[in-house]
Amino acid sequence: MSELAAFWTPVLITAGINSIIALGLYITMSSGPLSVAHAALAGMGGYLGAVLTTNFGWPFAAAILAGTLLGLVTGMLLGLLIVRMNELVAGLTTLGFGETMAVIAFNIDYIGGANAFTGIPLRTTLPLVYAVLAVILFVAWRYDHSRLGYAARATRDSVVTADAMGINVTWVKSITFGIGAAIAALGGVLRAHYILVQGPEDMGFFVSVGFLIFVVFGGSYVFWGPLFGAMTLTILPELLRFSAKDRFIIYGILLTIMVILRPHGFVTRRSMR
Amino acid sequence: MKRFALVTLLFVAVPAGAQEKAVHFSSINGQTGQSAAYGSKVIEGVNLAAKVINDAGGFADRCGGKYKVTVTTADMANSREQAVSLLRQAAADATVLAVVGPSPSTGYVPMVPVAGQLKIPVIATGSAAPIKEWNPWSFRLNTTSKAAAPGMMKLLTAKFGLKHVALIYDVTQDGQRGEAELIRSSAKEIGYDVAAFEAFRAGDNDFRPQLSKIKATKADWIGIYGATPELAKVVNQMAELGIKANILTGFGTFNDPVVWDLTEGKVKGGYSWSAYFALEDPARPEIAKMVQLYKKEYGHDPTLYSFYGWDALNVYVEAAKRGCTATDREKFRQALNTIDNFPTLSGKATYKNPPDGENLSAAVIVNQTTGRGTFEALK
Amino acid sequence: MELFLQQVLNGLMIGSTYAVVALGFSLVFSVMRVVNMAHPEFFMAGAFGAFLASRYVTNNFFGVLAGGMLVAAAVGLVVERLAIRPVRGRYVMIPFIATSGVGITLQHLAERVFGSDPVAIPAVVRPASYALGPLSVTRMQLVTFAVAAVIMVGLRYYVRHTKWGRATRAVAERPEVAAAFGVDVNFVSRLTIGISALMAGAAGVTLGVLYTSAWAFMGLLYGLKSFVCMLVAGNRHIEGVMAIGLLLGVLEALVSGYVTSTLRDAVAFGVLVVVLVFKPNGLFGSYSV
Repeated sequence: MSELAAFWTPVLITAGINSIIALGLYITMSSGPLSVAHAALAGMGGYLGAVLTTNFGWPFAAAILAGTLLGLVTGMLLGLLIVRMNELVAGLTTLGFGETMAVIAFNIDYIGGANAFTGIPLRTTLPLVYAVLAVILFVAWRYDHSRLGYAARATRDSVVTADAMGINVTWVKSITFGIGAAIAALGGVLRAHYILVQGPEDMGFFVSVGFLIFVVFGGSYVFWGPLFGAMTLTILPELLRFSAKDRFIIYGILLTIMVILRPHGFVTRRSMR
Repeated sequence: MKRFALVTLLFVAVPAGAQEKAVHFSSINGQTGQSAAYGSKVIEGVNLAAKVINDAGGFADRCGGKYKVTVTTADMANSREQAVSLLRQAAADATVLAVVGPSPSTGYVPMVPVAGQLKIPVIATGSAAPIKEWNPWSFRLNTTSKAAAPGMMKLLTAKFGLKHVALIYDVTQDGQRGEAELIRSSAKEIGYDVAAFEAFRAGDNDFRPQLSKIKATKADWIGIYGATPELAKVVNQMAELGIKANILTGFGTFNDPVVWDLTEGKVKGGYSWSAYFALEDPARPEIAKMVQLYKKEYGHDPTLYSFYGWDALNVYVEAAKRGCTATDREKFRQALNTIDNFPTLSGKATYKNPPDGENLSAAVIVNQTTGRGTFEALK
Repeated sequence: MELFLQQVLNGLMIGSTYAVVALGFSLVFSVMRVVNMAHPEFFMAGAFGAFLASRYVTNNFFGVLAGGMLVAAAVGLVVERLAIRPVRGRYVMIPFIATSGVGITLQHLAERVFGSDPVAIPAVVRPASYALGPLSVTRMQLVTFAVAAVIMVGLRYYVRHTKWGRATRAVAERPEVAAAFGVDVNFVSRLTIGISALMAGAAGVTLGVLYTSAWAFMGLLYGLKSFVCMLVAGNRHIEGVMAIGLLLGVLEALVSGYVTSTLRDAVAFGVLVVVLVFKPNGLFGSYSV
């Protein structure tokens, strides 16, 4: 039995962290923009949290708070930047942001540069991850049914109409980006204190696309979607380990088939009834 | 409901692996993805070494026990998360005595602290990244540039009057970048100067901007530090730009037959240091024997990384023989520390950990490439 | 001064390949509203096609080029049938994910079949170096540039002066109107994928021969850069995409040469962000999504 636990604990921790970041992305995307910056935002949280605990001896909770705050501020600024852009273009700005952050992290020796930042103390545990995930799920649930949530979706569906209805589009876009980024950064701090290494490669476009896929695949209309997407797609390659060298061939095929069969995402508003 | 049951079955069935009365090592390396070129060779070396031992009936330890060797291979796919997950899984599996691998530093660097926490031995097979903080459970088989690179520069300066060297290196690979930086920082002490210090990234195809800059410095020695795909392209593009210089590198990469093929032999005459690697050596018949077995088993030549895999497994088996245990990791670790000048294909192995897990007798030979997979040691 | 010119020359060579790959991306996006994440794998397929052709069929450059392009086109048609056609017209992220999935599959399939090491492609163009004053350029570099130029000119001609080309433009601008006028939108879409695959394949062949190797993961970084080119240029005018591709190549070479090579990749993304803040539809305008 402990063998089973040994195999699944690391997988579940990773799946949980991915779910947290995916939920952050979900909230950001609820007001419109496709973001491929969330891996970078998570990474920024990770770096800050890691430096604080490793180099300055801060307690873990304080580091988490700091990382989350960094995400919130950065996210709000990004949100302001992309306010006037359409969905796709906004997403592309986030691409630029994410990659630029990765390159910057690469070149700063204090945080390890290309060598990555190591020596991070282990603080993340399975119960902690799932406790945080539960909190975030609660937040997402309340968000979905809150005025801000409705305002965000109105903005997503039509900026012009939302504006006409009196919604402060600028504020909505920037705060949702900020909240989503804060959650992603939180996930990043957890991740850094589990993997114990935080490097610039974890911040780039391809990693962000991975999170985007979790959300869209799972269903971006309701908060269960990203949870489902992140869990399934993190666990799937592990289940496929038996196929050794063919693992990613099978994964790629399954991903393609699944997204074709369920183009609105697995969890849709209809399936929730 | 049926679907649910099937899925649950998968959850249970997957981790159950075959376990025999044997010494069980977990081989974690890059099997797919960008680091697979090295990782897959290590895996082949490890598996071949285990097969050879098992075909001979297993091995006997010093206390009268007889064992076979079981190796479970797991793919880390160049991902830190997967490497760490796999290590944790291996550690929690009581039948696993120790972990062989990995090669990519992306895997080894995060695994070091975790190995220390979980108290399971890990031995790197090719990772050259500097380790900030060692612990008694992390070991490294391969030579690293720390001693080798300055040694080579000293020899080349003394023998050939090397004065100006230009360096071009892969900034995304810890080992390569570390070595380039080391050469740069040793310059004053040894007596040469670094005329250029150009970076590129793994995956790049075109190095002409950097090489044009290097050409302008008119340096007559050029150090190239990168993985096979980029290394070969740099060499080829140097020829296209008409750059004539002596070339040097680390890790014996010029001796790699794959590199020879990709550059159509342009690496001839290049200098490198290496752990020992050759496809044959009249003074060492065991090499030719291994190469023959390897070719028969896998259909292609081994590379230095194949040697690392083979050696790592044999070092582990030697430790198992001395430790008289198939499951006690602490005893096994202590046995590793008794290994002193143990002969391996790539040199020798000696461990004294603490203070660190480096191979203290990792052979370093400065050599010049003379042909496909052949070289001549410099004295 | 000569270093500067040499870098510009280097940059133009690299840039021409960015341009060709970006064009294919851009074409498919404007005609089909699909971001084809498997496009870099057409490029990779072209290189492997060249490898196979040079190994088993012929040593002649044009033969190898044709072989590579055919392989790429075949891969393109398969991808279109399996991953694009079923989800065309839906929310743009769906084909994005479907083609990402196919891209992953193709990369690892190539790794499985050809191995994880790069494979050597023989020099089907006899190596030669030419000197233009103090600058040097190789025959293969010129061939690469020439192929890219022919493709770009050919595409422009196609789009402006041929029946199918004009139909393609019509579908890109106003699919409903084009359909109302009797244009077979499905056929045009398939044709477009085929053309984009041929183009990417040609780029893959020339790069494979230029760098004498093909590798399962060679498409990744190219894909990203070409994506960026498409976005910065906007996809309304193919000449814009071409120009941006060339410009990106030159900028990267200059930054590598004069600043530092570690920041080279940041150039592309930095420029992207700056441009998009001021011109959200790209420098030359885009069709609405």
